[in-house]
Parts: sequence; structure tokens; C-alpha cells
Amino acid sequence: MEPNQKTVSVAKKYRKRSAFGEIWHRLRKNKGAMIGGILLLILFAVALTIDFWLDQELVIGQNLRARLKAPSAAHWFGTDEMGRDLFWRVLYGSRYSLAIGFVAVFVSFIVGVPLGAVAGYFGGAVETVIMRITDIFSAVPAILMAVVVVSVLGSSTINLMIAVGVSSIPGFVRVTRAAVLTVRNEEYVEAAKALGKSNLYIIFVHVLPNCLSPIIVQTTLRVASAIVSASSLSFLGLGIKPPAPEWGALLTAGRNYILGYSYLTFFPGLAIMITVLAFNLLGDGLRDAMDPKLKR
Amino acid sequence: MTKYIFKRILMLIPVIIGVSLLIFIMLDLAPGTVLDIIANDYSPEQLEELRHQLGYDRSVFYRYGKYMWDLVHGDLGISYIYKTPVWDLYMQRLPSTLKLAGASVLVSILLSIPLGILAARKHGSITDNVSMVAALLGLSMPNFWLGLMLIILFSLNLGWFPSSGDTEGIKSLILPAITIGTGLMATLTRTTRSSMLDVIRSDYLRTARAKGVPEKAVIRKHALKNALIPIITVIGTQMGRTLGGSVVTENVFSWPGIGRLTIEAVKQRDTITVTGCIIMSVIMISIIQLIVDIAYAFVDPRLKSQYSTASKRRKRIGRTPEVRANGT
Repeated sequence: MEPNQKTVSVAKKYRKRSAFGEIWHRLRKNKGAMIGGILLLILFAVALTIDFWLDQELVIGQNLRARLKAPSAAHWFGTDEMGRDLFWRVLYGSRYSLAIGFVAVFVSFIVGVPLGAVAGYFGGAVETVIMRITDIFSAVPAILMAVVVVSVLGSSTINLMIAVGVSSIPGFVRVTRAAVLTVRNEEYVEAAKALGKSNLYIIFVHVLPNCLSPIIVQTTLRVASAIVSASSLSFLGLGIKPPAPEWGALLTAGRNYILGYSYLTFFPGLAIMITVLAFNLLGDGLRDAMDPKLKR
Repeated sequence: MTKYIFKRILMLIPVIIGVSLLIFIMLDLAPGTVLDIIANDYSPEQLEELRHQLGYDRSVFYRYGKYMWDLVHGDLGISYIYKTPVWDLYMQRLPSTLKLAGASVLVSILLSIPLGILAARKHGSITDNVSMVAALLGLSMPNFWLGLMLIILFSLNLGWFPSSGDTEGIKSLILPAITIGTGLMATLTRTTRSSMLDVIRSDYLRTARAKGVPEKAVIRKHALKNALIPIITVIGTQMGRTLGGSVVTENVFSWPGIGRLTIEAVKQRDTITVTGCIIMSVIMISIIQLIVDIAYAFVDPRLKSQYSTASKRRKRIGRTPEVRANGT
């Protein structure tokens, strides 16, 4: 029987897409994820280029005659106690928050994913040891863990990244292990073993690439929580100290002027919320797009 | 059941050893000791004496060993800074944290379960979308910011609630409870919704409706009861986490709870107090987890059979293997 023309064209339309094309297609239909993605693109563009087009003087230069001015056309977010324009400071702060979020998650990714993969792939005693240690790490509330690590290392931007990163390692170990467990008995893994490939090769070439979706989703969502954790630490006085224009630090500085100048705490917090929201929207969208079974 | 509970308590022991080792050694490695912080209160001779007494003239492992020896005997040690037993300090702060944790989880349950059910029933509608966006907003709001915004609005401008402390009873509880509750609400609403969606299209719901069960009873008895397990899990996790002390929110509202005690202790290098508080919160979390696991059995009768031993199950069925083998 001749397949009719319409069926063929429909089939072609669907066959053309690769796995990533399919995910992108589904992601594009998700309004929330698109909004989140676009917001993040803008934020990245700002954070990466701000040094080239913004006069540093606007961020750190003091102007005591214009101190504590309420938001207006000239100063969109108002000015702080030193007369610095809060809008430019918040904009500049995107550099800190995004960098901290990404580096922190990179730290936990680099440690957590291989550990989880090894635990899931080998099983047995190796798995028991790794998972019990993970249990111990995750028994301590994440924020307390970060507080302890930062007080051991001393508060600086790099240490803040490490502290937040360490506190989210258990999440990565768990997610990766769970994903690897679903793959490790697949035929292609068995085939690779039969061909005499090394375990390391199998893990990195065959197993992990097939576990990518939960790990990507976890990474996106973790960046969001890392940004919140980092600014929380700054807020507790253990992270980046004012006058650096990191959002948590800006907010902490504004807290001293909360009576009458509440905009000083409002805008930095709003910036954190919008950024975190964007990551959450994108992460949720990615999860739905990568695993349609989970879509609600 | 008793055997199961006993096993769970045994499983806690290695975690406590691990956690205490981790926290104790890490804090000990931190630059500066508690002696530097309290140096001004003592003469050099007294300080030397204290250094010896606390074991700071010997290795970390000596101090940890000493700590564990006390712990095995049920003693959490004496705080370096407050000079009172850590247990007393903890118990002093516990009521405030318990109150706050209870209130915020209650706020979250009361608001998110109805909202989640509504969203699931009207899946895809505006109500559903709005509540999901609201949940995501709640999830993305940093606690300290929400807390400060509530203070600005309700304490500074309207003057309805106090902005700090735990002195005015229920009035001082409201703002911190909303602050923590909002974050919890987001997760719980999403869980309730997705769990209800799983159930809502099931055959037994269609059957219940077909035999004329009123819609209210369909949702409450047939749907919600079957959707409860993930919901209870989330509530349990949240209860456990808030019982460890909500470090950030307690700080915003100067709430005299365990989170603040822990942070202050970390800042002052009071290793014994920090380790004690964290061990206690690990124990609390496990107790809640255990209660949740037991609650599963009551919610879902299918799970109950897993707890009972084989002999008991046989008794309940009323037949022994021999009888069954004989064909009667």
C-alpha cells in the first residue's frame, strides 16, 4: 500500500528532530521557561559586559549631596547613604550573584556527579561508603553546613562559593546515582563491558551521557538555591561584606536604614527574587521538556 | 513495629558519629579558638589553665574523644561561652523554635493543601496557572527579604505586629511564621497538586462518582486520602528542617530560637555548642522522619503489612502454613 502524502510529510516533520531538537521544541512551547530563559539571557549579557559600558564611578563613587534620595526619574532605585545610585549598584551586583551561583554549583557538580556515578555504577561496598558519607553531609542542614565551612575558610568571595558548593554536593550525588541506576543494566553498557572497555570509559562515554537530563535539571535548580544561600550568608554577615555591591550585602547595608528608606532593602531583594525565579522557571521547563512523563 | 523502630534508632548512631566528627573537626580547624574570643575576661594564668582544661594544648582528636566520651554518657558538654550545659541552652531555646516550626508548618498546610487540590481539580485553568505562579514566586523569594518586607509593611508602617523577639505571644509569632510558611507553602502546594493529579484521573474516582458519591466526599475521602503519601513526606521534611532552627528567619526577627543559638556559637568558635545543636537537630529530623514513616502505615493500609512480622500476619489471616498446606 502506498503511504499517502500527508502521512509521509508528518512523519518527516517528526523524524527530522534530534533528541535535543525535540527538547527544544517542547521547551519553546513552555511560556514560563521561555520567560525565564530570556530573563537569564539579559542578566548574563548585563553581567558579562557591564565592565565595558558602565562607568565604575557610578557604582562606587560617593556623592554626599545626593544621599538617601527616594526612587525618582534620575535615580530609578534611589540612592544609598553615600549617595551612590542603587540602580547601578544592583545592576553591577548581578556579576557577583551569577558568578557565585555558577561557581558554587560547578564545585558541587565536579564533586557530586562523579561520586554519584561511581556509587551507582559499581554498587556494593563502594556505593555503601559513598552513600553513607552523603547521608552524613545531608543530615546537617545546608545553610548550617555553609556557615560552618565559611567560618573555617574565612569569609571571601571564593570561600563563599566553596561553602555553598559543598553544601549542595549531596543533592548531586543522589540525583546522579539514581539516574545511573536506571541505566547501568542497559544492553549497551553490557555490550561495552563485553568489548573490554574500562569502567571509567563506560561511565563517561556510555553511562553519564544517558543520565544527562536529571543532572541538567538539578544543575539549573541548584544555581537558583545557591544564589539564595550565598546572599543569605552575606545577610548573616558571613559572606561578602558591604560596601561590595553583592545583592545580599546591599540588602544588609540597607537594613540599617529600614526606617524611612525601605527601598534600600526592597530593590536588592527584588533582584535576587527575579533571578532565582528565572532559574526556577527554566529548570521546571527543562524538566517537563526532558521527561514528558513527569509533565503535569 | 518495635523492632522496626529499634532498627531505625540503631541506624542513627553512625550518622551522629559522622556528623559530630565532621562538624567538630571542621570548626576546630577554623582559625582562632574560643580562647581568643574570651581572652579579655581572664588573666593570662587563668587562660593557660583553661587551655589545659579544655584540651587546647593537645590534639583535635583528644578533644573530640573527650567530647564523644561525654556524649556516650548522655552529656552534651558545657558551652565555652555561656558556661552552662549545652543541653540546658538547647532546652531553653527549644520552645521558641518548636512554636515557630509548628506555626509555620500549620500556615503552610492550611493554605497549600486546599490550593493544591483546587489547582488539580481545575487543571489547566486560570486558577491553576495563577496558583502555580504564586507557588513559584514563594519558592523564589529569599526568606530574609520576605521577612524584612513584612516588617516594613506590618510593623513599621501599620504597627500591627512587633518586628522582633518572642515576647508578645501569638502577635510576635505571626510574621516569622508567615515568612517561613511561604517558602514551605510553595513546595507543598506543588506536591499536593501533582499528587492529586495522579489520583484524579483514576478509575476508582470515576467509580465513586458514578455510584453517586457527593463531589466533596469524592475529593476528601477517595482522592485526597490516596494522594496523601507524598504530601505527608513533604510536611515531614519541612517540619524536620524548621526544627533544626531557621537560621535566617530567626535572625531577621531576632527570634530566640535554636538557629540563632547555633549561628552565634559558630561565630564565637563555641565548638561544643555548635556540635551539640547540630546533633540535636539531626536527632529531631530522624524522629520526625520515623513518625512520618509510621504515619504512612495509617494512611495506606497496604503499607501496614510491611511492618508486621510474618507470624502476626498469619494470626491475622487466621491460618497457619500447615493448615493451608492441608488444603483446608
